[in-house]
Amino acid sequence: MYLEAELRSLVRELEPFAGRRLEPDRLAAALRLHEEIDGCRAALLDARPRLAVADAELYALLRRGEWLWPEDHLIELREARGRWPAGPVRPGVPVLVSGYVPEPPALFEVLEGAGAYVAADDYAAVGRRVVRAANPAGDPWQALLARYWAAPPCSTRSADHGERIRHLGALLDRSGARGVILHVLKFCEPELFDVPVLRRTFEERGVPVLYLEGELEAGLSGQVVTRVEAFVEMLSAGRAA
Amino acid sequence: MALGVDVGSTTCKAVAVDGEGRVVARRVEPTDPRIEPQVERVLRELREEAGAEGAPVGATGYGRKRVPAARALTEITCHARGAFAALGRAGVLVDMGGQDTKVIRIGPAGEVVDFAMNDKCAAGTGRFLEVILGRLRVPFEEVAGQVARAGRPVPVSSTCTVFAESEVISLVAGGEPLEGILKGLHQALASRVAALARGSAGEVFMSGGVALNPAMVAALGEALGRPVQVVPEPQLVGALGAALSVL
Amino acid sequence: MILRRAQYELAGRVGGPFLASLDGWKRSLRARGRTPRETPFGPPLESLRKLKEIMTAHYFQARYADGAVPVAWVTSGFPVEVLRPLGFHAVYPENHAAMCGVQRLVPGLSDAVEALGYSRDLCSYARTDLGSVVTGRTPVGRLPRPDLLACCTNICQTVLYWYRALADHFQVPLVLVDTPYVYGEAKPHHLAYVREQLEELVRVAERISGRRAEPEALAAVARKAKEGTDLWAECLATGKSRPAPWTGIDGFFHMAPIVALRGTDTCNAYYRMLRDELRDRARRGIGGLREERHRLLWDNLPIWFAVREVATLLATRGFNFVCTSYTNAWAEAGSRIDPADLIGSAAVSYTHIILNQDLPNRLGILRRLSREYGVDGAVLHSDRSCKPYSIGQVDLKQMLAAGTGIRVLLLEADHSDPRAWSREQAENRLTAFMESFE
Repeated sequence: MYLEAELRSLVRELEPFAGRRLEPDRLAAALRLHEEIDGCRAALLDARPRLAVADAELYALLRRGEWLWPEDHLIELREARGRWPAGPVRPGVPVLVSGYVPEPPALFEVLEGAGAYVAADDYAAVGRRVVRAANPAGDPWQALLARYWAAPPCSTRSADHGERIRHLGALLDRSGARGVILHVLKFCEPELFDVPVLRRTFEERGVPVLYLEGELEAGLSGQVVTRVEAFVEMLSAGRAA
Repeated sequence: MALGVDVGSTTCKAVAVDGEGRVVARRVEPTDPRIEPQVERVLRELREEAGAEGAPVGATGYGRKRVPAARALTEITCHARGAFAALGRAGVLVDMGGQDTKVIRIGPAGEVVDFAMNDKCAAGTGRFLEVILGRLRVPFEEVAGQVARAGRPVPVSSTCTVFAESEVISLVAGGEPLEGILKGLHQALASRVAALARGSAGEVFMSGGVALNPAMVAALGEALGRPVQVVPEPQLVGALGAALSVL
Repeated sequence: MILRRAQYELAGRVGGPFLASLDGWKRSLRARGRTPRETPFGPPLESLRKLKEIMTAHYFQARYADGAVPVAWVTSGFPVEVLRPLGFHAVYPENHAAMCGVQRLVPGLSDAVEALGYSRDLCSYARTDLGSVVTGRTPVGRLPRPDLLACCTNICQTVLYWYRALADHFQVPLVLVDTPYVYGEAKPHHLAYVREQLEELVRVAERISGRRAEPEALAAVARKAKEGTDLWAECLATGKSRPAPWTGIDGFFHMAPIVALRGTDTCNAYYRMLRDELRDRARRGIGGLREERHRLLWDNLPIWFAVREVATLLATRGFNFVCTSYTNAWAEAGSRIDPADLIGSAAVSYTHIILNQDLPNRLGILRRLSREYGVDGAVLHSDRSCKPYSIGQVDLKQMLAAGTGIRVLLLEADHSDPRAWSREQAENRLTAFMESFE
């Protein structure tokens, strides 16, 4: 199939640069490592409403996974589970955030300051990359492809709207989120095209939606701060959209 | 002799030049909404002052089509001509006006090789500084001194002039030092302008009213990583070019 | 069903041409008694009348298509040759959106879908089409309901999201032909992938149309498509004459048949006629402009709502667009079609259209066109809502100017949304550009 052929072709091009061949054993070991990492990340994200940690700190940890050697990231993920034991549901208004990347980080401080926290994550760079399927034993190439297909539905991978809606519905139910923030970055087309169906879906469920448009490099603008604070105030008062 | 008028959206500039193309009389005024009477008066005054009765008129700027002139050319062409006449060599001219910013690559014969304009957004123009400095009540003469004294620049991130104004007010209210804010403003503007000029190699010149602000000249030089030479009488470059085009 | 089919045929053969001639008669009535204006353009093409007749008939017939024949809504780069032998009436939302652009209907249509949450930063064709579907407003009377949506990503990824929104709205099957982007050369497994999708497309289209795709029928359509493509290329090639016998803007309008009627006799007959007229004008030295002083290349889509304005501004000073990368794309798209193997050759041909290949290839095309058509300047339209065509233009501009020594202008606008266009600033830039030639 095409994806497999394309990945194999990519590997053949990378091998001369790396100066070595891709050995199945090493691929299998890498897959196991990343499965464990995803397991830790999933546990943190799922338990989030009961973790006494600020969003800013949690996201800093999760984003470091994009920079660190995976082995080092796994170490700090394991430490985090110890440092942040699950307790009672934390105070604050729980929200579900769906978007592309959690930038700028200052956004989480604003949320916290307004009295809310991210109870459920559907960021393309975070939650939508956490694969939860178990690794079937056998050919590591097939396992690699299976992981790709098993990732949560994402607009950037042209996911079916039905799948996205089901996935977000489950996130909403599990987390108890009272509102949704659609955090869109200029000009991410796949995300922008999904906005109408997501808005419609949440409206039908009676869940208030905040549409937040940001830019990648800019700092947090007064407009964004005001919108977030007003949204949280609205949710806190328990008024419907 | 010849006359040149540059009717910009913010200021109206006019010059009279002699047979050798030297400026012998000049005017710079805020543009009146009623352009025609203003231009008529200015040209009449210049004619008297310079003894240039009967001299042809060249016009440029956004209002050029409303001027009875022998020739009307865009500011791009006129700024290139004016700068080349003043400096006599090829280079990259950055003209920062009230409401637009242009980068013009001038060739060895004074010809326009290429140009880029920021004519979509005031945040890359003189209006950006004007609005915010006005709001902060900092007189133009004091700006350069304040920026020079500043320590760390306070970043101003809004890409919109109007929103930047709000942002700056918040920064002041938050206790940030005024000099740092002014420095941050100049850097923000310089980086936008530098983006227009970055691809062009060569010597950099600057014209337009904003070039009278040494802090802006310095900030632009920093952003480009090259020294910036201000064209003498930077506001008159366009009008000069317009006059030369009919001489 | 039979009655509906009869209506459909009558509409195409009689109704449409009648409407077109009525329109022509009205125009000539209005024109009578008016003194001819000073125009920088040469005499209008005779063929234009026939073009209007063909396209009017096409859209008039479309009103009666649903229920008479299977209807497919199709992207401009889709291998429509596969659908024609199955009797599909093909509708081109992009062509329809271009008409809406020319008639300045886009802001109203876009507002309707912006209210649903679609961002204004999305492709203006998509907003126009979805807006038309949602409001029912269209300048062509009525568009037929699709039985099939056919989308090929060779022109952009946007069509995938756009057509999926259409599929959600109409609840009909969407067939996708995903063409991997070509860096350098397409790899065998890329072409095999595209081929597989075309084979699946045939199965789905057969099911919906209730007909089998016979090899002879496919071969016949393939021959016509190839011939039409070659004829269009011959029309474009007349632009190499000095003066060019037509303007680049003419090309944008006369392009409609090769896009919307590719693979039909009507299309080919039209381009034979147009080619002969253009060659005749070239022989007699009749130009698209009265006085051609400078020759330009245009890159990217046209600015549909300002096409005449821009052309006139430039023509007044003797500047003509003698070639465009956009019209040229349709001389290349079908050029590798092989009647002996329609499916396989379509996979190759449609994977290699300009927008599906890398920047070095695009630069090569711009350089080649500049050289072959003897241009001294180029305008790269930085199209606000067409990212795939606009990305890289800043670099292309520098590289094109450096390699060829021609003057290149980057002009920001949009292909059909006038809200992303500033007339004053654009005219100023174009004027400054023209002055730099003097």
